[in-house]
Amino acid sequence: MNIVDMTPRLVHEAREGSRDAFAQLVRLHHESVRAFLCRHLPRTDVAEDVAQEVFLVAYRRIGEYRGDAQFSTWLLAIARNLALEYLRRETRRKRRDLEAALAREQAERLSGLGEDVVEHEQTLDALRGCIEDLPAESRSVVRRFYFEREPAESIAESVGKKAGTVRMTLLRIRRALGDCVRSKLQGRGADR
Amino acid sequence: MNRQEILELWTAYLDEQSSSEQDTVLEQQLERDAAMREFVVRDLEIEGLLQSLGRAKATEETFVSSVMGQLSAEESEIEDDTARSQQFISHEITSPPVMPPPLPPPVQNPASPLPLAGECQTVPAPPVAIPTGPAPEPAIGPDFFGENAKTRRRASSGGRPRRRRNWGPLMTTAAAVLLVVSLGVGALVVSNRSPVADSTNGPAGNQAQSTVPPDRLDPESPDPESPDPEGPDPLRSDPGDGPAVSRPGGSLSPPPPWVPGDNVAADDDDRPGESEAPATTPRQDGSEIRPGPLMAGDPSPSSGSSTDPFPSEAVVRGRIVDQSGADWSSPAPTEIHNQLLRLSNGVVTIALTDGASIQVRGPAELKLDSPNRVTLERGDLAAAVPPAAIGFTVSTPSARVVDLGTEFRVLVSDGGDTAVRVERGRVEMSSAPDANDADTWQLEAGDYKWVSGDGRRNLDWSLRLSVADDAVQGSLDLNGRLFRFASTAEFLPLYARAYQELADLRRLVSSDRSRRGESPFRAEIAINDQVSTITTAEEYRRAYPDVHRKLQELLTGSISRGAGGANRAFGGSFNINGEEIRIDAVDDLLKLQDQLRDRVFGGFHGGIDQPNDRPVDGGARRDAEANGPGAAVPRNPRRDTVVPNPFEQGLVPRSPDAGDNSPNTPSGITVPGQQVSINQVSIN
Repeated sequence: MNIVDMTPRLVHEAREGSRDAFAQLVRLHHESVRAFLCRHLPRTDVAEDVAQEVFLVAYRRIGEYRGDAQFSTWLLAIARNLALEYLRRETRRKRRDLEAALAREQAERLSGLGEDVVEHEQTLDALRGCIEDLPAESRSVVRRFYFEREPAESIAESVGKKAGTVRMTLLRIRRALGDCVRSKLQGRGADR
Repeated sequence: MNRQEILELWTAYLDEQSSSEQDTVLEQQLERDAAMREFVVRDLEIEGLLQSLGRAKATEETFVSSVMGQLSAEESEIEDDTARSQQFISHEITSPPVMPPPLPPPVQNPASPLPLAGECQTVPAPPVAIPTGPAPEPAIGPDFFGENAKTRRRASSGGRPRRRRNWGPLMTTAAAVLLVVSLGVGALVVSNRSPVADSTNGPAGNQAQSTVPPDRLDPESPDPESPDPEGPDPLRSDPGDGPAVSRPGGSLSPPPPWVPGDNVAADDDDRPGESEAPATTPRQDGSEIRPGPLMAGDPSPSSGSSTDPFPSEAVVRGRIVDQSGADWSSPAPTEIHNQLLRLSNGVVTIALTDGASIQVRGPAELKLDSPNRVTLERGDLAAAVPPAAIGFTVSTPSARVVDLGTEFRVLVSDGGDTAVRVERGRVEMSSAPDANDADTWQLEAGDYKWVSGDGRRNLDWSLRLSVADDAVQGSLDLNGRLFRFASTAEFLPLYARAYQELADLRRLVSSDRSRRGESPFRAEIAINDQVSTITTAEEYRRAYPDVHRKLQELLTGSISRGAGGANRAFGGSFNINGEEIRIDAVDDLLKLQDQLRDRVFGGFHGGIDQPNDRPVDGGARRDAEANGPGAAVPRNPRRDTVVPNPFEQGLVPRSPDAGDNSPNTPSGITVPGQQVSINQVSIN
């Protein structure tokens, strides 16, 4: 994979007006952008909407990308701005419900993250590694639930448990993954 | 509630298995437990990452093509600017246009069922006179919303947004396309059928004249004088001469899928003095309504109480007769007096004491002001009104709807916009809940009208045209003024105006609210009888290129065929800030257009929303907030660099790089906020 190598050339071509090059850039970078937004926005459908918006903005402004940062970083900076904008707008609503409460928390957290969007890519890498490191049984639940979109009920049925139990299991797995990611990132920080 | 229970609620919420009561409990628990809040937000992050990891790769191509499709749509919008300059020129070449007299308003057969998508272009409704007898007793069942529910988008999740939804719809490629774009009542039709014949079905009640000037279509216009109401635009010359907003809607639009925004939530602000106004407050009733066939005399002889003051709050104004999955934020009532009803979810059927039956879909906030009058602060309401209850009135923050024997629906967004859709019969709609001088329209079955909460905007156009070989004919309905055209020369100036409307529409659908499905936006696009229904800006953006291409073909064709094609010698002059510029050839015009773009329209970069940059929150610039890398650089540099000129044959100049507000009237052009003005334009 030569993402790093290919991107500058594609950016150049996209700036020259090549739609194909831009499409290629989308292909190379959408995962990271979408993951970033799924991570920081309360709903995946919103995240997907905003992710598309990120690329539309990027296309419009690609002339402004000077190459002094990684292209992916530039994209994530756009993503962060759009996500914050969304969350703040949600927060401004007078509504009082769970989602608004979550949006408030997420806005706080995301703005607390500062400009350090580079951390995101490391997080993503770490998470992938951590999933691999899971015990086989947990990995299987993760795969079925998140990757194959199998409903919790159906997973529960096949293992003779209640759906609520599966959901709680997933919660524990997520907590383990979160701990794992954090320790990996800290390890990486210590390496530096 | 212990930690375990909270976590169970949380995981159920994540998996979309919780009820809204449970969510409320969870929200309250989180409210008082900061550590738990922190925990769930971290968990939400991992959850989101896992969701994304599990999905992103598999949907890569759909994502990419969706993004690229939107880029194409945007580019097409830019081409659309080119189309506008085309009309700009064409107008000159063909002016002065001969305006046909307004058509008599058509009649809607109140008994005819609403057409299904796909067949609405094929069978014109036969002319039928308005019945003078009582309207058929409408029935309203628990599934009144049913058929529209299919077209609902996010609202279908019952008002509560869910995770793990909408990966699909987002990605779905827009269906094949095209022939009608309708916004609200409005529609843009490009068909091979002559719509003129259909629009002359006969006389209709035309007491109500639209008095909304086109200017009001665009609330965000920074300059109310542009376009100039005194200008030569034929469409502005006789704002009062047109017929009522009435058209053979039944042959055009299926019921619009009103999407009560999933964020239309009961907010905590009561409106003191309004929602709590005593029911005894006399409000203008039947006396305000111009008497129509159904309105002679007492609108409701068998229910005089509807117009009487109510001496006591004890009067029962209505009863709940059915609730399906209703979540009340206010105490659940059975007998309704004057209390404010807050429905957070579900559907409730209420029988009003005077006979009207309403269904309300939450989230909604309403109040029965009398046994025959409802104030709907927000929400989605469908009403079936038997003859005995004619005069039944729905007041909203922005409008008033008086029944004239109907079934109709009212949607009030949380921004206070009101949309009304008449399913059967007629209603009278006023642009303000109480004002005597409000604009008033009579709406008939199939009609759809939207009044914005700020009272300034009223977007309502309908263009129906048929194209067969070189001939163009059709009609254009602009805010109730109906114009007919039977040639390209007549059509082009009308289209120029319609284009402006379309540009407004484009901005509308770009707006944040409609993006969220909160705005009663609706478009239909059909080609060769294949109809696509569009309810979100997303879908609109995808479908737009096709509509545009069709029109582009038409215009390019008609211009090149004689109305000022490249072969035709012509000359003219522009006067820009006192400097006269002669043009003697198409090339000169092309150059001039470039100059115009640079000198005049370039100023638009400053402050006017462009469609590609979705305005948010009432026009606040997304760019200003989302100051991504290099936010200060002129927006849309792509317009100047990458956009291919679709008219490379030299037929037409490149687009002035204008925003939606760019003038397209042929002379007396002023640019809002700019010193530059074009005082005279003449060609030939």
